[in-house]
Amino acid sequence: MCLRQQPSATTCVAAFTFSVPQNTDIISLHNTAHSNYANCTSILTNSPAAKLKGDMALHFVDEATALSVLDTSALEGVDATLIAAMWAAESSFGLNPSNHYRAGDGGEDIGPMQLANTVWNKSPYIDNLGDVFGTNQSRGGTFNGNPYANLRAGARAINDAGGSRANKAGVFRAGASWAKTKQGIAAYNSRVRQFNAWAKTYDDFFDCLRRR
Amino acid sequence: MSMKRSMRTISTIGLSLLLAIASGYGGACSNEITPKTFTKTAPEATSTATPETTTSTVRSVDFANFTYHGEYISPSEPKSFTLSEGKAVVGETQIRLAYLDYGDVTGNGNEEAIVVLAPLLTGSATPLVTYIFALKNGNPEPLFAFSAGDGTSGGLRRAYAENGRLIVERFSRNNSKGDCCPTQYKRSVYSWDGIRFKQRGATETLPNPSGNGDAVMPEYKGGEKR
Repeated sequence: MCLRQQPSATTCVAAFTFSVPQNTDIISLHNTAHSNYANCTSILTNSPAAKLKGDMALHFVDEATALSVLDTSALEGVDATLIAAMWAAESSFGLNPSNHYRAGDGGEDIGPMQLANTVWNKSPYIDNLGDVFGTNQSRGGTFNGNPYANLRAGARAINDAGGSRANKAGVFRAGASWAKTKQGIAAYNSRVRQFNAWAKTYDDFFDCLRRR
Repeated sequence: MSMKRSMRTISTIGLSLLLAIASGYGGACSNEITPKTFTKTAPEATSTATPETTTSTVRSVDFANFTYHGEYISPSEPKSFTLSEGKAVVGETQIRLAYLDYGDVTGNGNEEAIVVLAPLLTGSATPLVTYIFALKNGNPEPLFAFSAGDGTSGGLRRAYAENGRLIVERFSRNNSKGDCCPTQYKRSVYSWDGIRFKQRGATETLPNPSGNGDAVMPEYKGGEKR
């Protein structure tokens, strides 16, 4: 099994669609994305998904958010659209959102990616990332950890599921045993619908940002 | 547990159980409770506790050691499951008694129990399932059950009694800051007509003062330390 925390770019070649870039690659990516950003935002604003209602409405991606997604995608080898869609669905690209109590196990969903501290607070998801969960893990608390560490751990959690991107989105929301409960089925289907509604727009947007 | 009691069916006592499964996720009706009446034939919803005397109030029912209808949680089998000290493992799913409240939701002057269970998903969703039990002839009888999503996906904020009516508050997906952080909730009032709960008046939309998606109900604290 591929270990995503491995620093070597070649360790996970079979599992990833591209290798982890070196720092110069990330700098170049940032420069390119920054140059393209203004011209790419129309993809978001003109998208049919931007006109959807309620939780199906597309979340706009500001430049800092876009660069964070691209960084996380490059560092963790996880699809940028998946990262963006999960971050948008969970906390609307928030950096310091409220914790959410997990009545099922007494834990909390924490941070931008709303990672359960009872599920993901272990290797390999948090390896070498720093403060993924912060110290404020109490009920109703506000995230005070490192948002980018939380994003990266979230990307690893997303990639924990196999199958299609939509399946990874559904499992991130509903868990691997989602089909065992009606609530899991509903949560899975809801997140898959969200992902499918947003995927093409975010795909086009991140492709635009990367275009040289 | 009395065998007579455990085998007593809802159909035998002539009570139609009102079911409202509002999926809470997606769809136009996810923030609405759509009731459906059906008749149970299986022996379910029975206390596993052995009462020494006739139960006089619903507060004396031990809902932490209790058998519940399984159909609100399980897509197939089992038809029922039993909590032991507030917890159960059904197949691969842990289920926990999360919140427990009492109040007169039927307007008959007697308290009913509002029992909220949490099936554990290992994703970010934390759905809740609410059962309402009345006490009839010393035995708990299910009146109503519904499933709620999580956070802005129609998550349960609170279910409680007020002036003999049932109030259900669920988080709204409108103007949300993601599933974690609903900014509004919807409040609906239901009255009991002897057979089912019927909504009274329009659903109100109110600001969510906490800014998070946590339920605000009396928490069940038995079974383990928190």
